[in-house]
Amino acid sequence: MATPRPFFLKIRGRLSPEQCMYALVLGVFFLLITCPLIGLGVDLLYAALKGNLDLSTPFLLSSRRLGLLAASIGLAAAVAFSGIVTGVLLVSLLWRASRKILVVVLLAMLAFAAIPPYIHALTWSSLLGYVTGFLPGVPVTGWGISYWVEFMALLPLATLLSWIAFASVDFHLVEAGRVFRPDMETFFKILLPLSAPALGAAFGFLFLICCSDYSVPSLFGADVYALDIFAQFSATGSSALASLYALPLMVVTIIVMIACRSGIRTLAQTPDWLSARFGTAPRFPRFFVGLQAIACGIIALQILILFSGLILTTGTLSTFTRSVAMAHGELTYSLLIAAGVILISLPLALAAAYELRQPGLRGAVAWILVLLPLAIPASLTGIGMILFWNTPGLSMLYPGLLMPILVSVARFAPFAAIILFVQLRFIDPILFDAAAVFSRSRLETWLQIRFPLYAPGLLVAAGILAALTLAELGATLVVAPPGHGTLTMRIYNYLHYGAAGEVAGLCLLITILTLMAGACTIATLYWLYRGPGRAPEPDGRKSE
Amino acid sequence: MIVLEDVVKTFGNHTAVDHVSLEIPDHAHIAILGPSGSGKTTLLRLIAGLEMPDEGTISMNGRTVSSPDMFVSPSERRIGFVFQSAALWPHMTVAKNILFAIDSLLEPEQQERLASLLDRMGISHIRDRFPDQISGGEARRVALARALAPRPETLLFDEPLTNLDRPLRDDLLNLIAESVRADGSSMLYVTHDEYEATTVADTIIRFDRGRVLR
Repeated sequence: MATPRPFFLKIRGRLSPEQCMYALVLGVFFLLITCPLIGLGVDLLYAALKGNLDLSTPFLLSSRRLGLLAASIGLAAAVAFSGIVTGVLLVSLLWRASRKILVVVLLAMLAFAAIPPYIHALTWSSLLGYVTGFLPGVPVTGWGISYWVEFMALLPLATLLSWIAFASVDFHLVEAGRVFRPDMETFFKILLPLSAPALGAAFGFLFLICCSDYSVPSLFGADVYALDIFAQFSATGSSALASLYALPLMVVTIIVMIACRSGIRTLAQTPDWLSARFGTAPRFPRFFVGLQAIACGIIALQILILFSGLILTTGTLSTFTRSVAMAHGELTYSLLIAAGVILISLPLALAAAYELRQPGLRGAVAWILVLLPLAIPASLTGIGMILFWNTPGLSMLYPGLLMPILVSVARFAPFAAIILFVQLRFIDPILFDAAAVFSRSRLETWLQIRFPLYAPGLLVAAGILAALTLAELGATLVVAPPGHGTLTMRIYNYLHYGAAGEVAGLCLLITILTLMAGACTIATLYWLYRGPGRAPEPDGRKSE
Repeated sequence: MIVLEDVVKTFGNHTAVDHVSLEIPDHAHIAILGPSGSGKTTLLRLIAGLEMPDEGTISMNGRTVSSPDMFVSPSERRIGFVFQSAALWPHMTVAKNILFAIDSLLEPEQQERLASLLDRMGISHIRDRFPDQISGGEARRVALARALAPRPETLLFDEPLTNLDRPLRDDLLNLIAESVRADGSSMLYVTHDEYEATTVADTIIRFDRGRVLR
């Protein structure tokens, strides 16, 4: 009969050093992304126990706040819906595109998606300023123009997500439909129903982004709920009260997020985003071709207004160089923050990506924890970070860079985890088994096998983290130490005084930096896939 | 009759179909036999209208349906297609999968055709089930029923019995041969298995590296 092993030996027997490291890194990841929620929760509990807070606050919505909540939800829903409809129309044009064109279009959409919404606000307000010279009645503020600019800002992302949703459908199923019925019928009866869960997730994703963004509505004089949370905190200084005010909006966003969870998983599990193409162009009726043309016109307008607005408002090269020189401190600070976010987030997100692959309850919990931070308004994340980290022992974190870095890690590391989860799905696990058999050390396995296989995902995640961090405003505004500011904060402050040449110059700089980050990512990906030793893939699906 | 004249299809540097000319007479039962990667599937997809030829023409009953500057959409070619995977739409029941192919018929005709096909394929008991609730063999029968439903002039089979065990494969081969003969359609059956080709077809065309071997 076997003698039972002591408890500590069981533990030692179960966990290898690699597993211990994995658990530690995973713990740090989940702590960093959930610390704003922990901070807010503890603070709320403390205030309630002390009797300083009326817990009925979120349930006693004043008519003003109720209206604000409804208008904010309505705005986000309208933006997300029109974004998805336009995105679907645009991607229905890409079915016949060659693989190269598809890659270029999708990566361009990715780069444009990373341009901050307030830059679109600047270009459209410049245009409106010009138009009102001829047509004085055109509204330049309010919900209508806020909707339009948010829609324009989110359109590239909506297009990208719509494509991924379509690509999640096995294209043989669509081809089977094409054999029997006209393309339009196949589109509505096969493709749309099958991609509906992923399109729903894309809608939810856009809805969440729009709900938490107050930069565009505030610039056009539309008061949204996310801004009101920040205003409440600024006016009362009570984080607990701000949390309670935020609760109704958070309930809505969490419901949307949970409803979209399976669809988001479908989006992330799409096996090959580039394989879903037809060998022959679909034939759509005239009304649909007309709608596709309108969608093309809208995206062309978006790009045209963005660049022409920025270049014309900046005016001259000297204005551009002057504005860059003026903001070099903020620029350096922003770039350092972005670098810090990438360095901290990537290793943590890689561990989280493995956890997202787990089946059953464990994977489900990981998905909820990763998605939860996305449901919190940016300003509330900032408040939560202060509450969590503002303790006597940790006060050394406050000056300098660390708080803005941590706040961006809390907000954006989940995106990196999802991207790396997608990357992991492309890698055949047998490659790691082969590495374990043939390599001499763990270090060698990491350097020569694992890292090169992870590289494309790490690179794309780094590019997206850089772009999102450069554009971050709502949370950084709350945690930035006195005397320090990011480029985005400077632009946002200037924007309230109108679209001057210097501000446009700074926006142009952010746009160039974002597109350069995108171009570097694309170039490196191209090099990785077309580099020495890799045979070029034939431009087409396998024939047998 | 389907006529292919000097048809070429390339993907990047790879020529999948290389100057192929072929005539498929009415009511002919032809198997295209070739190794994996020889271009047989591409040939079938070109006939179905799921790929465009780079050169050459494809005509059906004297009407050009595909050429570099002429294209008739797949649904207008009066063909049935059985894919390698059954390709059943997961959001539709077995009955709806079949009815989709005959949506243009009047309701009573649709129901009559559906009942007759379900009966012939021996799948009446699963008519209200979804594809994830049926077996692999049943899924192939549904795919065959769907392809036969609109009474196509030509039936195209793209290795429809891959990954099935021998008894089930024999059973389905007989069913395919009987059904196609009963409906009077032409048949083009792509396979890499000589046994399947000889069982189901009257004529065998050997295909390799994108070319018909004489």
